[in-house]
Amino acid sequence: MSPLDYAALTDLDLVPLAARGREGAFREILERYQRPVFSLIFRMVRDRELAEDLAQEAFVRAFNALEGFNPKYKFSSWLFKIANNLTIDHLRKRTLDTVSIDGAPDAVSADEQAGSRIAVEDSSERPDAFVENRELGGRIETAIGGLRPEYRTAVLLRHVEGYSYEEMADIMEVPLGTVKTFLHRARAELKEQLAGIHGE
Amino acid sequence: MDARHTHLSPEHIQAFLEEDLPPQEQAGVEAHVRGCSGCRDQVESWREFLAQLNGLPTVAPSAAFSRSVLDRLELEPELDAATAPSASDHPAWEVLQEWADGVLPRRLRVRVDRHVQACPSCSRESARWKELFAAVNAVPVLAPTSDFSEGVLARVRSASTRAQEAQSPQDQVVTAPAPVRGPRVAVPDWIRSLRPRSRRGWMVAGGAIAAPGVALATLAALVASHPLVSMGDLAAFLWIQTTGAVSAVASQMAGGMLESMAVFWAYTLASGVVSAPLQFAAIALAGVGITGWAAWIFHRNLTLPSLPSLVGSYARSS
Repeated sequence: MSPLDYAALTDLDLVPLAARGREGAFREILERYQRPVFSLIFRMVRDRELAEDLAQEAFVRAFNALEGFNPKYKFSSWLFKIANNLTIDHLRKRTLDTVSIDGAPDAVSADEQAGSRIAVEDSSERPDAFVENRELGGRIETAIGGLRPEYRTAVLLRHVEGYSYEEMADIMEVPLGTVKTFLHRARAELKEQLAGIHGE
Repeated sequence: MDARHTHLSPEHIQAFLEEDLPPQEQAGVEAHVRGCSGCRDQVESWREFLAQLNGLPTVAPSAAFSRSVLDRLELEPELDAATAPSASDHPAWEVLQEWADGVLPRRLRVRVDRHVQACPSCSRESARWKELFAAVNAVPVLAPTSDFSEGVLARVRSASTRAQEAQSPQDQVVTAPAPVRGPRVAVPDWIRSLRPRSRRGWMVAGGAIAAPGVALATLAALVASHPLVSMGDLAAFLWIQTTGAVSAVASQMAGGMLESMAVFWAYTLASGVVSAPLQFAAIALAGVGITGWAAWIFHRNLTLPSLPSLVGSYARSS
């Protein structure tokens, strides 16, 4: 019996095989999507090691949820939704952690708050670290890194992954109008930042 | 009207370049751009910017990425002629044991599955392991005897007693002796069976025991506080009522009863009440107190006989 040629199968053919635990099918899914999924997460968190961990987690979660996948949806959108939610959750959690150590909330003066603040070195969020990052060190990458997470997702899904507005709305779980608003504002911010850098 | 208001907004330009406007509006913007050099420059600037965004490359993960993901998953490995285990490739007996126990990782389990199917000796060996595991799993859980818990409690009590008895003489001098609650009364079983089983039962029993005393005390308080009634009036009233009732009963009974000691003592008591009502009230209140104290002793003896502290107290007092 000749082995299955997984590369010739569509996503929807691969999903049930992978759901039954066929390594070849999941390996093919990984082959197709590891790069775009990692790419999205890496640009979101701007830390290669963390991005690999999150991307791994996204694929493992997707694999464990394969049996619940509805074939009427596009598989890649479903996978990106998992990856994006995971990444946004991580970023939000990191923001909360940062806020919680940013000085005592009940401090009544600036000096008091500064005195209770804990010094934290988080290289992934410092603007100068964006430039130091060789892979994402370009001007436009740096500007994307400065956007708020929802704007970053919108720009990356649209311009790197080439998703339509409808697919983006599905992945980001927001209305179509919100997607357009995110994208328009994100691009306007980027353009303004790049013009500012260019003008210096 | 300010000319700037007629120019295209960034949102309009973006939607125009992505052809996301209704056809009529798309045509209108196109016409405007042709006639407005400022907007034409803006559109060109946006077109270049969007092209730049579209040129962003994807970034590859490390070479070990897919292997790391696959290692975290329960996947069935693809076996072909080159990787399938041969019948002579026997697994170690520890592996076979884990396979029979169902704890082997999936990737290895699949390989052993196939080998066992193809190898009669490993098949027999694994069957023996499975029989052994089934026999061990079937060993019943053994229960202790019914008096096991009582035995443990008795040992705990006696250990507590010994610990208290082992106190040094010096300790016994400086330590205040625990209050002794009196000798333990042997209560018959039929009385124990009347013991309330719940908190509510105890409340009812306590109320029943205390009711006569409370009623008597309340009555005495009412009489003492009323401006027109004195204890003497009440005693006289009770005396009249009581003697009337006694006379009615007595007239129906033998005349010898009038000379009995009980009636003599009742008469003496009533006379005492009439002559000294306040002293009588004090004696009644004392009676209520003694009744309550007796009820408390009764309760302690019936419900808390096994507390180590009590056991210790009894042991020292005996």
